[in-house]
Amino acid sequence: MAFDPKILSFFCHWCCYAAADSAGVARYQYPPNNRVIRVMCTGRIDPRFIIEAFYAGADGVLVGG
Amino acid sequence: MEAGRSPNIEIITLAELKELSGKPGNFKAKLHIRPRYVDPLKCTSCGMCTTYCPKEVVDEYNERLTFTKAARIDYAQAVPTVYYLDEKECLRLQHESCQLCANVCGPNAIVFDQQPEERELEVGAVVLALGFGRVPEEVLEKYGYGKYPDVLTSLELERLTCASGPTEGEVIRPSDFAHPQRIAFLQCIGSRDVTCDNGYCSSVCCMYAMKEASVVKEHLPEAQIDLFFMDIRTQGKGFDEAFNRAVEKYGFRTIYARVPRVDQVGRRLALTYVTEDGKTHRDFYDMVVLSVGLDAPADAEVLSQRLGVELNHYGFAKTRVAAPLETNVPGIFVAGAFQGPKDIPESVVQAQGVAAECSELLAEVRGKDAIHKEFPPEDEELERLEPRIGVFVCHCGVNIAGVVDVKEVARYAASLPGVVYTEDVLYSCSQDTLNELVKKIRENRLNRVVIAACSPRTHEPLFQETLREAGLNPALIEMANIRDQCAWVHAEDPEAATEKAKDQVRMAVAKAARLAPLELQRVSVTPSALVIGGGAAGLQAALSVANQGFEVYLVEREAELGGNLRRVTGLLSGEKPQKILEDLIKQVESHPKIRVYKGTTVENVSGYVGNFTSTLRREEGSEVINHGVVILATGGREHRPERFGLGENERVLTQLDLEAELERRGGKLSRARSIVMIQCVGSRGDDLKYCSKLCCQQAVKNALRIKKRYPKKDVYVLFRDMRTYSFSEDAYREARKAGVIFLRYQPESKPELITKGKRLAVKVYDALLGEELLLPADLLVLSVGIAPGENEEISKVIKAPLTGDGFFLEAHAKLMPVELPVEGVYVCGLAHAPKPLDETLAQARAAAAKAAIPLAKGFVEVAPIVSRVDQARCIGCGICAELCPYGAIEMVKVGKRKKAQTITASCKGCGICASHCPVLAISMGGFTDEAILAQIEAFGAFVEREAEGKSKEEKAA
Amino acid sequence: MAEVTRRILELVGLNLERFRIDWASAAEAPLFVKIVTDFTETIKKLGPLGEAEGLDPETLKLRLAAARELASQSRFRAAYGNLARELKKAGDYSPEGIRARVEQKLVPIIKKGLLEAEIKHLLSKGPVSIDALLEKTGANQEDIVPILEALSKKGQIEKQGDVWQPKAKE
Repeated sequence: MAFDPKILSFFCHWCCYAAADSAGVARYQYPPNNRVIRVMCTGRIDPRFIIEAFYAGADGVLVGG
Repeated sequence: MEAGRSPNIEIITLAELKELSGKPGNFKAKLHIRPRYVDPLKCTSCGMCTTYCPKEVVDEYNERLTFTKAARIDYAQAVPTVYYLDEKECLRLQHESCQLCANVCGPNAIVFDQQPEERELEVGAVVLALGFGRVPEEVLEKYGYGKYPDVLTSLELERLTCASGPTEGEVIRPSDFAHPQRIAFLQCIGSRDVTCDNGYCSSVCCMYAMKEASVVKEHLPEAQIDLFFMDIRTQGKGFDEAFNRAVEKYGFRTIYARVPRVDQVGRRLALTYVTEDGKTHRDFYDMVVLSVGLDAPADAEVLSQRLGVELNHYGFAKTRVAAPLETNVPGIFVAGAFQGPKDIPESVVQAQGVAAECSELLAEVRGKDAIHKEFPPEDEELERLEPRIGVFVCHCGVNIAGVVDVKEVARYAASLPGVVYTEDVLYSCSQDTLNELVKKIRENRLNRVVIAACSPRTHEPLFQETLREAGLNPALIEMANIRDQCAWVHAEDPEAATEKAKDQVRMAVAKAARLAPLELQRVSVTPSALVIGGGAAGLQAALSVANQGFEVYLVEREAELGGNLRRVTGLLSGEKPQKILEDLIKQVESHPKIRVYKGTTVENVSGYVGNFTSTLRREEGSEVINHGVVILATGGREHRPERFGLGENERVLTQLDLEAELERRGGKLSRARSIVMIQCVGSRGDDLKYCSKLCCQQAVKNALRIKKRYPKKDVYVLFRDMRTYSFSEDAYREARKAGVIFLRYQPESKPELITKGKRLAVKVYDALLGEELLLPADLLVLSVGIAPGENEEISKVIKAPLTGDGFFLEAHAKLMPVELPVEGVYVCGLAHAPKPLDETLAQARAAAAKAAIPLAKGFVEVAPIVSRVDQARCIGCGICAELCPYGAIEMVKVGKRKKAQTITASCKGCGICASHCPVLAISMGGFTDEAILAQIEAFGAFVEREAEGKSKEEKAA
Repeated sequence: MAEVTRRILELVGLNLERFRIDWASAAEAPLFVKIVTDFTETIKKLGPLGEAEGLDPETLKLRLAAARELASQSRFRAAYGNLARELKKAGDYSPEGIRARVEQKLVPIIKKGLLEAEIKHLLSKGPVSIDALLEKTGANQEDIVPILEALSKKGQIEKQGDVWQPKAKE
């Protein structure tokens, strides 16, 4: 079986989260491997969150500002 | 939807305005309301009547492509969400022979004997938003429509590509239900066509054709699509870029040719056309799409006679450049396509602008009859209970359910900890579902709600309000975005999309369990506006805000008001631009509520919506002002590239330079025998990537002015696409008639300047002759486009983003065209994007309307996403206060120790403070550490499930 | 934030390509799609967490557990917060500047904190010899001994012959 990575993303409400919505409106297609946590700003991201994500088993963590 | 929910908007459907009497501020309107035969208060829009109705009728809403019933609703999101009986088709109403619908209607909402109603309304102002009409079928028949089944209109194709349309989004050709492989789009059907009395350009078809072609390509990647244009008119903000991107991505062929007719040859359609090089071509297609234009609304004439409103010669409302939203009758305004063909952003701008017109007219009585929405008190006891989570999974019609297995997601949600209720709903945002939601919350004593639907960015406020109606704190909701970021973007992999949806729901449920009620904070508003920029946009915006009853500080950097408009000397409409400007300035300068600051710059804008503080600096010294909102009308500037000898040779001018020459007696113009104009100099890909929208109109206008004054002079206009959209197409035609010679050049072979001694000439390739022409240019006039003003600095200060082209980026291109992402800051005029004067004036009013909302309310509600310091934990290190980019944390003395404290109204909820607190003493409203960590933990279950799946597979192997 | 996180992940032993921070504005949907697609591809190539790094699941879990603890420790957090404050004051956001400061101010604390947390974890499961500790953490004797001594001074652990074990609660 091909490896299907599990990715956790933190997206900024104003930027990347909005871009992700626009991508939807425009019906762009991308791989379904990421799961999203919305934050109001990437400034909210604490190193703890990233480590917790890996601890929880994420193969990759993407922070989108 | 939002309008339907407002207690201050009554939507009266099936109604016609019969008579209007009185004067502005005090009209009496007589309405005739046709019966719906369904009681809207009783109807639950369950759809039983449609299911059982025996009478099949052609579905007009779906462009006659399918059937519906006599008892129906046209589409699920219709407002009001209430069914109706089609009077002409209903067996009962016509023949007294059936009453199945009444028998099956649970709430007994069917009323066969409902009578028409006459109603009289007292209103202060009237807005005509009649929309647009259809191009007559005779026009379409010229292209084989009606005769050849595979000739479709763009409206029909729109329904075919719609996921909830008659084919559920499958693009098939009507003759044999096969997927078309070659498709042609014919532009300007019923537009730019004097033979059908529609001489104007419909403005929107080039863009929508591109959009439809793109959607078709998404459905049928193999299809080959050709688009036939007269000109490619994609002049709106960001349109050129979008168009070019689509052409590149989907490999569209764009052909400059007007196809005269369509023939059927065997099972295919033949197009015979002549390209600009004079060559004749014949191509075969499986489907031909007619990009139909926007006609004047059908009933405009009757209504205009009733109201005494003047129409233009095409049957649209007649307006002036100086007052694009006003009819000739005071108190009757106009907005949208009835004022002239236009797209959604332009229509929204006009709609908002017209709201300002009404608000100005009715400023004195504002709020007199307003109804304020009341919410029941919060059930705090319920909120304190262990989480009782309700999960609602939305189909969004087929938007979500077409990809994600919604039922499976709902079943899965029911198994999650804390979840006591789950349901899948067709449209979670429809009014009846929202009412149902309130009921479900109460019945099941839910104290946390998860909505798995679209984006919280657009819909969270709606659901928050619903929670309030149910007596819950609005913070107790969490949305899982399974549409925009799931179903729509993983359409090709329904299984993975369903898994993702489940994961996002699980994460949302985990977060919901840790949500706490948050207090909605109200901040009072300083009732004044700062308008930056004293050009046409700033003047109009200032005037409108002041006329609505609020103080305005109008700041102009230069010594004089007027901006770019000062240099314009004529308008196509015949109105005098300097007179328009003079009127505006006079009104502004004499207005008791406006303070004008010339030769002044704005510095240090700080604060937040409702409470800004700015420094106005001028030579004599500076002044600090407080204001509630900011309108950016900072304008743009003429782009003056060093091309074609501009700036070196005095016979090379820009169109604005020419405007001055046109006012002069004698001078360069009178000596010149041959005048050459070149369009798009430095625009659309060179220095400026975009189209400046107004240059083509301006060139045509100036060419006509030259021809009127000096009929014998030769005038050439070299262009890429003539973008004389809407009614300015008339002027383009007039100019050609007057002998102005228009020559298209290709971007890969741009005109060149040739200097022979003192003489100037322009070399350009003429496609029809197939050779290069040398045009003498005693005067060379360049259309140079509009560059953004110095927006960068103010963008940084206000924290409002710019587009890649350097203009302010609106909060939403279509629905929020004058609002910026920063609350309390609005934009209009050239600061937003290049546009002609009438559009600038309408947009200035739109900005004024939006800006007046917080001013009129007197308060703003701060979203409770702000930070909160647990002072018992705080060690007073001060890291947060120093890191906060908004200065929203102060250090205060509590007892003997220093503690951090949030200034709520300044806080934007970014969370830098919380993520850097050594002792984790800061929590963010709605985004607490606990909530985010719970989401991460819930994400982990995804990993575990995968691992389990794998081991199972291994075992099986 | 990014640099500090990277250093921690590096010390845990993870491939740093697993963590990416990128920007796309609201207007840049195509860019967003590119970022997500590229990142997914990168991770696909890397393979599952730990496996690609040659870390066995037990060690990986241990190291990440230690990192978790470190990230909540007030000693680390105060240093992290102060560093952010220092950077803001200096106005120096060049990657080199940040790296240098993180190396100087934070890395020692991260190293020590991680090791300490790992030791605690190992000891919490029962007595462990110093050799086993050295093997499992992959650290030097010079690094481990002071930590063990400090912990024993605090009365959290005690030495019994060759092995260290958690001190029995009295």
